[in-house]
Amino acid sequence: MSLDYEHVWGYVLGGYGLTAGALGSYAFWLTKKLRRARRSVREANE
Amino acid sequence: MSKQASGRAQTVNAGRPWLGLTAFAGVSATFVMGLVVAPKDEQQRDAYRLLYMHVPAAWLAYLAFTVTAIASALYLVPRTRHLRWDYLAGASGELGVMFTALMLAGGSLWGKPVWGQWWAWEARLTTTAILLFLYLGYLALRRIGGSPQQRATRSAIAGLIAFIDVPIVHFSVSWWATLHQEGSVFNDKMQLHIRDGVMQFTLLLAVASFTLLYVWMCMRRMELLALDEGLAERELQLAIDERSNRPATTNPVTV
Amino acid sequence: MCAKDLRIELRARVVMAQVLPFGVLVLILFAFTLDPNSAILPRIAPGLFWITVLLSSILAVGRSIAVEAEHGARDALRLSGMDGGAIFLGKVAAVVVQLLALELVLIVATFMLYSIDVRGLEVLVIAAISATIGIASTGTVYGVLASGAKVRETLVPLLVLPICAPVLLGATKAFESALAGRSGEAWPWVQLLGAFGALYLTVGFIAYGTLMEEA
Repeated sequence: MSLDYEHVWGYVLGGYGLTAGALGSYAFWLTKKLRRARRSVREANE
Repeated sequence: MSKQASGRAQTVNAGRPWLGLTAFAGVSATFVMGLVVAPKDEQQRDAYRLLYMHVPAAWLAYLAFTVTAIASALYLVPRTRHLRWDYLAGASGELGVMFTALMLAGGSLWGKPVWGQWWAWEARLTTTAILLFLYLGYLALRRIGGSPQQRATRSAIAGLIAFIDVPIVHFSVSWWATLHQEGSVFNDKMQLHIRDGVMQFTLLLAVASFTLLYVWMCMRRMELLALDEGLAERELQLAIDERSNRPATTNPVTV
Repeated sequence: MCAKDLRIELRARVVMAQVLPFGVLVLILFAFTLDPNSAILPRIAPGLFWITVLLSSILAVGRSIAVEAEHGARDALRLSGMDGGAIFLGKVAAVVVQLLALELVLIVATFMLYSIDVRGLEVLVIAAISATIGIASTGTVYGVLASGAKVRETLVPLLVLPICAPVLLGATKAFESALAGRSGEAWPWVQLLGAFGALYLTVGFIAYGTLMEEA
């Protein structure tokens, strides 16, 4: 099994992209939902 | 009362922007260091760069599930019973599933160029796959409804049951995997030796910044769980008041 | 308690009338997907048998929860002031009896359909009993955890299958070794099965009291 170590950038970028995508979208979703929830609580308590 | 509630939310919130900003700066720096600055490995060349994603994901997956187990135990002990432990268990379990999925996906992407295959029936890999499904079940169980206290008790027990299964799974699977070792894809060539200073620093930075990100996300997820539940309870209360034609009792949403 | 579940079950006969045919059917379907004339079936029979048992068990456990829900038995039990742990042991015993009956028929079917010579019978029996205790304990705990959920039928398999992965592995390996005439190699796996069963029997015993109060 000969390994082609010079042509691995697709896999490397795939791994980094996947991590960035997952963490980024989770953080984005969380921030959006949290902002909305905080606003609702503020309105409800007024 | 309403001032008190928002005041409390603010105290919890104070200092967190810095945590979030530091975490994001650290993770961004990790990406630059890992992709560009850190030198190639002698054996694996550029493929080893996935290490900087894989190691923190693995570490946080295990950390997150351990936190879930501890929080579950704290909820079950009557003296420390508080819904905040349930929120922590839920938030951490969700993050644990995400990091486990990232660990498996990143590991596959690493395995393909280095081992020549996406997957190997090796003990740690197989255990991790089972782990993912154990905690997917845990998350599904958290969403079945019922009162917050019911959910908290159920999921605390499920969190502990899942946690004590992990060593058993690992033990049985490693035993099973050693039975047919000859087909192993691992050999000395795969061993990474991180001796270079820049490599070591990058790995350390990766683990530290991802951990900060986990803490930040976990705190926000806890707050979101608490706020959503407070809002839902209040809506329920309003509906009950409307039915009974009484003036609405407007309890403030507290967390 | 155990007797009560068994009596209800005997009257309804769902496990024997539906789960058992399902299990035998799965064994037959496996033969369709794998070449029945080659030597592959006897070689992988232990694994096929235990996968069939695990899938059938999930149906049987679901049945045992449904029995309770239909009859509103939970409230009656709670009012009866019985200890949660005792109720748990009773339910597990009832499930174990049903599953063992199921396994007996399925193992005979496996031996006949896949033409296997029986060897190491004592290992097979002890391994099957230990594995069944493990499946029944985890199934009963998760059954009550998921009870009341609309999604129970799909949730219970998701919970039980990964937790029982060591049972599937241990029981399969124990059967393989015993049937190959190497009973000595089977004992470590049997011990694993025994430890798993004992552990989750204990966990369930402790957990059930809390759950009966709150869930």
